[in-house]
Amino acid sequence: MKKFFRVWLVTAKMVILPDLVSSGPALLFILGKIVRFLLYFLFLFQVLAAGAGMAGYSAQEVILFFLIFNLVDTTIQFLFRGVYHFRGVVASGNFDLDLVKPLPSFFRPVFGHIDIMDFITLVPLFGFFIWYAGVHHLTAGAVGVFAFIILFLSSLLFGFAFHLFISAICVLTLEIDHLVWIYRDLTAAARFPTDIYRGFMRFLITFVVPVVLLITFPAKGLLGLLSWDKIILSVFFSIFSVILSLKFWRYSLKKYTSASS
Amino acid sequence: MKKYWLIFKLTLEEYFVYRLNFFLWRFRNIISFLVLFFFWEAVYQGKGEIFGYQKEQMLTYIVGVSFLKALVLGSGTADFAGMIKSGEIVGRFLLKPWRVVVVLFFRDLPAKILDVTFAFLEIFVVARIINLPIFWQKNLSTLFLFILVIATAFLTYFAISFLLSLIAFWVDNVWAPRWLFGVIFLEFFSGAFFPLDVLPKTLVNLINLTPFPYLVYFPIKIYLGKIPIFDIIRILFLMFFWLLALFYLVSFVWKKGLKVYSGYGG
Repeated sequence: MKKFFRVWLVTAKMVILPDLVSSGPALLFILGKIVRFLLYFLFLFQVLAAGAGMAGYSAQEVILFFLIFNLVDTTIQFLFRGVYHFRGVVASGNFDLDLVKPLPSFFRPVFGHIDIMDFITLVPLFGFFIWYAGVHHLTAGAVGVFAFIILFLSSLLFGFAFHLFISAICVLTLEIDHLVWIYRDLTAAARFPTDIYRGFMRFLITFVVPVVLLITFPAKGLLGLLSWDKIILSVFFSIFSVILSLKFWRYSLKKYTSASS
Repeated sequence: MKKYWLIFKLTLEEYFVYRLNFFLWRFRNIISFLVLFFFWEAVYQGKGEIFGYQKEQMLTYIVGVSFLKALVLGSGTADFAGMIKSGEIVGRFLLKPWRVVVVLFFRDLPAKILDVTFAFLEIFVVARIINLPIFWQKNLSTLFLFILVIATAFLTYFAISFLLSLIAFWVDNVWAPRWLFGVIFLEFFSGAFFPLDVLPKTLVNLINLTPFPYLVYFPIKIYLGKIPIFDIIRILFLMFFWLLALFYLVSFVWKKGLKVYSGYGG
């Protein structure tokens, strides 16, 4: 584990260096991320000020959902950025070179790339989240914080499972871009409390990409609105997803034809 | 002209080759629409009017966003930056007997036609399923002005997108400025996510100084009959101003860009 972490650090450093050399684009990306966050925040603030709440949640709670969405989404984007580059690696045949390295075969597709700009925005976002939750008394005490940490880690585990699953599909079909973006669109639905969705949309965010588990559960856990059986179920679901994704990944590797190499 | 129609035909055929991509792209649009629909449904729970919009008008606004995203926003010119960087523009454009802008325009047309057709079908089906109340504009002069405004908006976006791609003549990383101006600013300031009336007045006044709100926000407000006829004429003049200014800028930047272009890789 320690060895993998060292390799990850070296890989991350190599990915970050070009971003730091060309500081202009990096600044534009960071500026874009900040502007997007602020405008969404302003929008939500204005709408909630006009309407006072949503789906039975107070304005502050709705904003907490929004902050936790940003926190989970940005952390997952920061850690598992590799899938966005994986199609090119498979299509060029360069994936062969990764398979002969003494690393887990899924290292490159999932962890092979990080987004430093996400990390830079993650730090103040995390600070703001703690401040906001504290000032508005949005935590159900130490139990709520503990439940949030467990559910947040469970979300990251599920995020890993899902990205690995998409990588496996990429090995089999070379299709990845649209699947990743559908995942992003569905997770973006959790900017707002997922209780507002019904019918087909509710089905999608519960069973196709369990956004409810990914983002709504940590928020509800912090607010003390989730029973312990649901928290345990959520953790088991994430572990089960990782096992299934690993099995599917191994299956995809057996079908890998090493085209172009 | 015949060669440009051939490009139109070939591009259309191209879309039918990559059917899965097209299907997934359309699926994403349905998701975006449903997210906005449920959001506003929840906001309007037990309320009559918010930010000057009745619920029916707000839901029509998001339907309008879906159509205008298909018709106005989105252009193949975004790929042009990559062609500049790879040197592909030499073989594909500069050595061929055609005008680059016209070729790109005729490559955009089939995408728009397909997107709008499918957006119509999807919204029709989804509207029937979720029983969506839609405001139908019956005033013919307003409808005529609406069509005129979206035609201008279509060309304006084409110019903005092409201009952003031309940055590739000077910088290596084109994706960063395109993402900031062509995605983030565009999405928020054009009103493609929410009507600008939601934002504070001072910020809206600043946004109105850019060409973005003329792409989605004003066209839909015109359709909804929320802008008096005198103001529509004023908006049209401003749109024509932006259109001319942007096409002049495109022509200027294109000429300057070609002078510095070394075409490595071409």
